[in-house]
Amino acid sequence: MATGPGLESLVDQTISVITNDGRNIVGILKGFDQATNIILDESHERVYSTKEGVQQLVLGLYIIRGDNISVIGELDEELDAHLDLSNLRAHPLKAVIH
Amino acid sequence: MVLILSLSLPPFSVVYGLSVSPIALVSFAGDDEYTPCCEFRPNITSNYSSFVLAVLIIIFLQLFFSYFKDLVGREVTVELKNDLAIRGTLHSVDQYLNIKLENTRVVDQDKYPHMLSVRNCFIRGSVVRYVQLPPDGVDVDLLHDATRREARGG
Repeated sequence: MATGPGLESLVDQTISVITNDGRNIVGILKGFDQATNIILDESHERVYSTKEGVQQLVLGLYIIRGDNISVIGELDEELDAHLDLSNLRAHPLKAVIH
Repeated sequence: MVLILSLSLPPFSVVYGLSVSPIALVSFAGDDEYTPCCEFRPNITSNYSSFVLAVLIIIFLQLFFSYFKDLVGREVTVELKNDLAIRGTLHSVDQYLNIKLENTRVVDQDKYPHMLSVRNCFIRGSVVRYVQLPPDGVDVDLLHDATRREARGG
């Protein structure tokens, strides 16, 4: 009787996923299931560092296992366009410790 | 030993002050087949205690699920196990205590700019460390009573 995570509204939207190891992956949500496994199209990873600006690594079509997902955020394209990623300095996110 | 447990839902609504009673269909399958060389059979008391434990866990999860459903619409701050803290309006919660927040902003935005362009998010229940509530959002006595009732066995 378990309804899956309410991610239907995010399908075909650009989302930002934070994984348990602290990675930030941005892509278009194509599918999900009850275990929150997700399919991400046109994905790229945003690597944050304190020394240089944000690095974007193209990944392509990805399946991310639900066990490994912390946060799925709906990316507001407008807000994202205003961000100057090359000038953003930040510590990478910490890994999840259970 | 196989324990088959199925809950008939939709989730019952909790009225504070009443005990939560799940409608659970439980069936047990003992060790019917065992190797001929082994004479050991699990005793009845260990079966029963693990059954009780399983039911208690399920009851307990339902209690907090119902409690969070009543908090929908309130402003909460969710602190995650990776130390990220996200503030937002509670939009919905599910049986795994996955949380959907609207109008989100990260608490320390300078330290965590990773979610600057995110305004709505889904947080997996397994990574939540704390959910910080407004002080008037909790009727401590009611929750205390309900929890005590659950612990006693409903």
